[in-house]
Amino acid sequence: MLIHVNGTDHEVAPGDWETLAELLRDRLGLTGTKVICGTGACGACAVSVDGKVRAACLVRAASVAGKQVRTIEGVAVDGRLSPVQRALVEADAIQCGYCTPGMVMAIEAACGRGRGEPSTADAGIAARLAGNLCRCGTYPRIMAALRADAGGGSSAGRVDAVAKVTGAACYSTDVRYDGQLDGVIVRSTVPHAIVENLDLAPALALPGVHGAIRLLPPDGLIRYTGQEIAAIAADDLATAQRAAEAVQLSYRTLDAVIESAAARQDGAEILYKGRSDRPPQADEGSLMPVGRQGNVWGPARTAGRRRAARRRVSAAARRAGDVVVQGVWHSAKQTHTAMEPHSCVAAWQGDRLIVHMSTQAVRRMARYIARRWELQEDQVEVHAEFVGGAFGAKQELSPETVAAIELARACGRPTRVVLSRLEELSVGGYRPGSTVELTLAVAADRSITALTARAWSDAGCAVSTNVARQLRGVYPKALRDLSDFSVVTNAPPGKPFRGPGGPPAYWALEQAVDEAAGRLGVDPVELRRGWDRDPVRKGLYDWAVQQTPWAERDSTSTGRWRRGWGFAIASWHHYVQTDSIVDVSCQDGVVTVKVATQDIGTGTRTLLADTVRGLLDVPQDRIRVHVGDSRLPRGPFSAGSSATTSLVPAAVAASTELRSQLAAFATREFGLLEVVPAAELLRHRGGALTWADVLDAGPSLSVRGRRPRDRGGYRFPSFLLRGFAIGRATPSAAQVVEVLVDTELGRIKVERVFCGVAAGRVFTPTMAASQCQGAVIQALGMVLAEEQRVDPVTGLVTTTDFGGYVIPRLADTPDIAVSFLPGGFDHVAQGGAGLAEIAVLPLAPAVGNAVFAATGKRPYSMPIPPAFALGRTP
Amino acid sequence: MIHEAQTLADTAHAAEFLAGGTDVLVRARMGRAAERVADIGQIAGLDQLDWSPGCLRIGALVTVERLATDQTLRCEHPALAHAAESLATPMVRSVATVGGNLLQRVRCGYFPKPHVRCLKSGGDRCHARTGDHTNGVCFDLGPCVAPHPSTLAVALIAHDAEAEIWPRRCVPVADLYSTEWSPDREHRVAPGEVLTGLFVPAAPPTSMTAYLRVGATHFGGWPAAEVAVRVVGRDPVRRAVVVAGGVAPIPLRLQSVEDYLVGRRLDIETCAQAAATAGYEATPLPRTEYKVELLRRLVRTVLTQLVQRPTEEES
Repeated sequence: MLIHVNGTDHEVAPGDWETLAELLRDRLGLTGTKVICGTGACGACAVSVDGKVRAACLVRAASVAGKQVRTIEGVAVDGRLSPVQRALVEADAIQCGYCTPGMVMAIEAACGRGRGEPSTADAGIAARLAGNLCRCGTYPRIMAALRADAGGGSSAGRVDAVAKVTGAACYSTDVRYDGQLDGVIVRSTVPHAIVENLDLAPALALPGVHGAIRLLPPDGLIRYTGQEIAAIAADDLATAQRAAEAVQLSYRTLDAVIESAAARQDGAEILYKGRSDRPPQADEGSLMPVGRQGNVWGPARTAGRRRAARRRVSAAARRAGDVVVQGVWHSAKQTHTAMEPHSCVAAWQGDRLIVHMSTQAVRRMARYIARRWELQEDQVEVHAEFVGGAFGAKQELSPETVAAIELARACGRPTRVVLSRLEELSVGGYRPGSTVELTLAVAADRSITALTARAWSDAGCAVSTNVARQLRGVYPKALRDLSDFSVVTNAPPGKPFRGPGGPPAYWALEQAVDEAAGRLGVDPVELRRGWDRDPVRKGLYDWAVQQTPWAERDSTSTGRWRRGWGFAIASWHHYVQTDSIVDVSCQDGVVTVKVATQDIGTGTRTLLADTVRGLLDVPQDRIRVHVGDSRLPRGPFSAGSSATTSLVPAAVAASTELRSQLAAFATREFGLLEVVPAAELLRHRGGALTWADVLDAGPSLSVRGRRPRDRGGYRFPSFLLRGFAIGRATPSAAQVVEVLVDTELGRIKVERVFCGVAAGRVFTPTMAASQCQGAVIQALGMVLAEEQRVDPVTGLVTTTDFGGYVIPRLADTPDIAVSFLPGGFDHVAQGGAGLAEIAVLPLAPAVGNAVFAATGKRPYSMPIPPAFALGRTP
Repeated sequence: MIHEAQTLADTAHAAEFLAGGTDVLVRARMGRAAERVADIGQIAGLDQLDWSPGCLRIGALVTVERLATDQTLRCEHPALAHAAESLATPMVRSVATVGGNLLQRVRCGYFPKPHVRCLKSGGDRCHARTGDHTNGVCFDLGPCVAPHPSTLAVALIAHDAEAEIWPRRCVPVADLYSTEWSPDREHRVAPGEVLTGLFVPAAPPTSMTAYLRVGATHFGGWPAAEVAVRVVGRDPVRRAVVVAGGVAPIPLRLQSVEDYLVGRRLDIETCAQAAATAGYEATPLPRTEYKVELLRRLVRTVLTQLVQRPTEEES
């Protein structure tokens, strides 16, 4: 059959069940069309068919015979962006960019090719874009882009924005080598068993199948449903899937414990028995080894006057006038579900291994891969040119990468393994669930006296003891007794997720503080202010009172519609990857920045370009940024809010040195006198030269900058924490939230969020604000809707599509105003700490406090259950 | 195997029909579609809205988007249009058909998964019943606890619509569904038959309709519960049809609510009292208790909307 795509005719013979999305991506190489959900629910594969927007994953390829198809690649004409594309670039309505092509196609269809038309009125457009999901949370920027008054962003946009809005950006899912195979993973269908027999021969015997490998641990033990058993590579995905069905497998099943309550019971099957039989960590960083009792690992205790803290609680409980708040707070498992699934393309070239993977740690992956496959590090290349979101789930050597590398070796051909959304939502990672028992004692004089917390985390077959310990530094006057436990089960392992351990800890603490303020009859902000010494946090209280509607807030606590305001504050860690190096060079009139880091959507490329141009002002087309390649100079991985604060000082050091060397070069080359290098120009006695002039003279220079130490050193040195140092600073965020509650139908709508962030100097305010807005939106999903559920018998994850696992949509997005408070981080190199995680932490308790203000009912579980906000029975 | 049907007779050997693809295509990827499928998308004459005096005929291949946006339909049957625009997402509505919506398979965290054997996929038990049934029924009327997925069925039943079934029969839409157990379909269109269209009678002059749903998100998700109502007459109410979705394995007529309303004056108090009866027959599962109260509230809210509203005649 003939199909017309972007004005070109193609003769194709699609299969019966082949979708238009598959045809475009795999046969025609038009990989701008992304497949995220495969069920029509996310909009990433939006294309136009005879002028109508369609989800290409719901269109049978055979049905478009003779029709005109336009894809994202056909939107810009002769390199000129459409108004919609331009608006998205200018409003910085892009983070990882994986949903962007679909967003462009949907907006083009929803409001014509212009912008600012009446049809883009907010309510209407929110409904029309309800089928376009963005996990980074760019929704506020998308709305801004659609409004006529767009332009809040930098007019040039991100350095890679054009690649993202045109579909040219190549993600790991889009890499295609000649002769590339597709691999699928055979997974366990039972939660706990020993594989007794695994026969791959029937799969290998099928036509089109090129190889099969085992992924089982040596003892054949299955610890969760969905665990990787084997992988098959074939000419195409459908063939590989059929072959996977043919694999012969027999299990000896063992008793399984799926739910953490069951795992804690006497007589429960013990899941890790031997002395060296230890579960993997679901946290970042090294943690002290903990003891175990049955399936409960812990306690991991935080140093403190534990017994004294408990005594103070009992004393306060007896003393009239003192307030003791006690509660048990629950948090469900929240999955990362980055828009780009875990994916890997591996290619062996002789004894060299080239790996394209969706990772937040190219350099670390190269090291891990070299170690595992016994290669020299320079034999391995890890590429992640574009990464469609990560959020913590992509920093380990995960099974799809192992499968792709092994299959590529077994078959002698490049092989791609991409998780489906079902797999991504089942085993792609989640924030561990938790239960936090927290007690807060406040004396009648309003001073905080004690804080005790015991947290039980559920990270499936992994352990996580990282919740209560997040409370070790806040409100320092309290004596504290903090301990963490982790209950192991036969569920998929959790992974670190944006601010690991933080959200459940603050969900409990900041609601308890609010409760105490209510019982004492004092303003919750003022109560906290009295407990805090930290100047950064004091600044946030001032901000909340003076620059948000907090002081004039009015709650409506009667009638069907209730309005309430809530406040919460949280602090995070200042992590630095102290060994980061940035290389800045110039050649052929172009400045090039090189570092082995990656841009997972935070804007690292643009940050580096802006940093260099801040010291050496050359036109944007004279600067290139190379990241996403492990062979480049040693850079940070994107985790712990540390990439920016690790990179910028190194880039500043390199750029400053390069500028000096360019000035020296120009002095010699042009015979200048009394040169004074400045960011904009090279001044000299006779006038000034632009840096472009200097570059045109053909200098070829290369400089490496290393990240300098923070003044006064670090609280915790980097060698203990896999290259991370913990700095002496406390990045903090406070949020003031307004909610509207429909008590008749139980709906909670977060209407406005004021987000104050104190992390010192903000290097690229537009992108930084977008990070914070995205953090708020992810946290909104966490507190109102998101919950990974697992069947208690089979261990099967049941929430495996975007109908069952609900993430925020454009229409759920409140107004989010982000303010950055300057100062407080002068000792940090270049004066700024990271901020990608802190904005996640206060949102849930702030919403909880606002719901309490509106309804008089305090939520203890998140997500807040659907019937929670129903008023009394009529 | 997919067979492209050109006529209704061409569908004879197919076990399942494909139209918009929002259900069958997705299930096929999971290995949960029938072996022999007929693509009926090209059969002529099934994609029309035909207005005749006293009756609207909706072809089975009319898209949900068309129902949601057709101006005449919005005037004549606003609740039906509202139900259509409330379901799924714009890109799903643009291809999903009315017939497909009425006859789709259940959405459940277990049923469509490869390797899961549930009551509807050759197994002998409902995993959701003992496991995750957070989105399940609160009227436990069959062995499977997945709610019926069709929003349009809820609205069409409230509109007294009839289904036209090829080769030769016409039944009330409500009769497309039964609590009689069937593992391979959630409707009663028999093998060899094809749902070809719906007839929606013109609203009598004193009739009022409304539709409302509650779900986890503002747009685009599945409803936790949904309700469509039609009330004829105001003082007294002469006839009432109250249909709930998301709560039972079929679109569920709430007989007790209807009985309470008939013969009474439609005012706020009546609405509240009628709504209070909505959960009388509910048999919630451990995790669907919340739906019972939610259903009462939905019924109350949707009925209350009618109290202030002019009837078709008065307007």
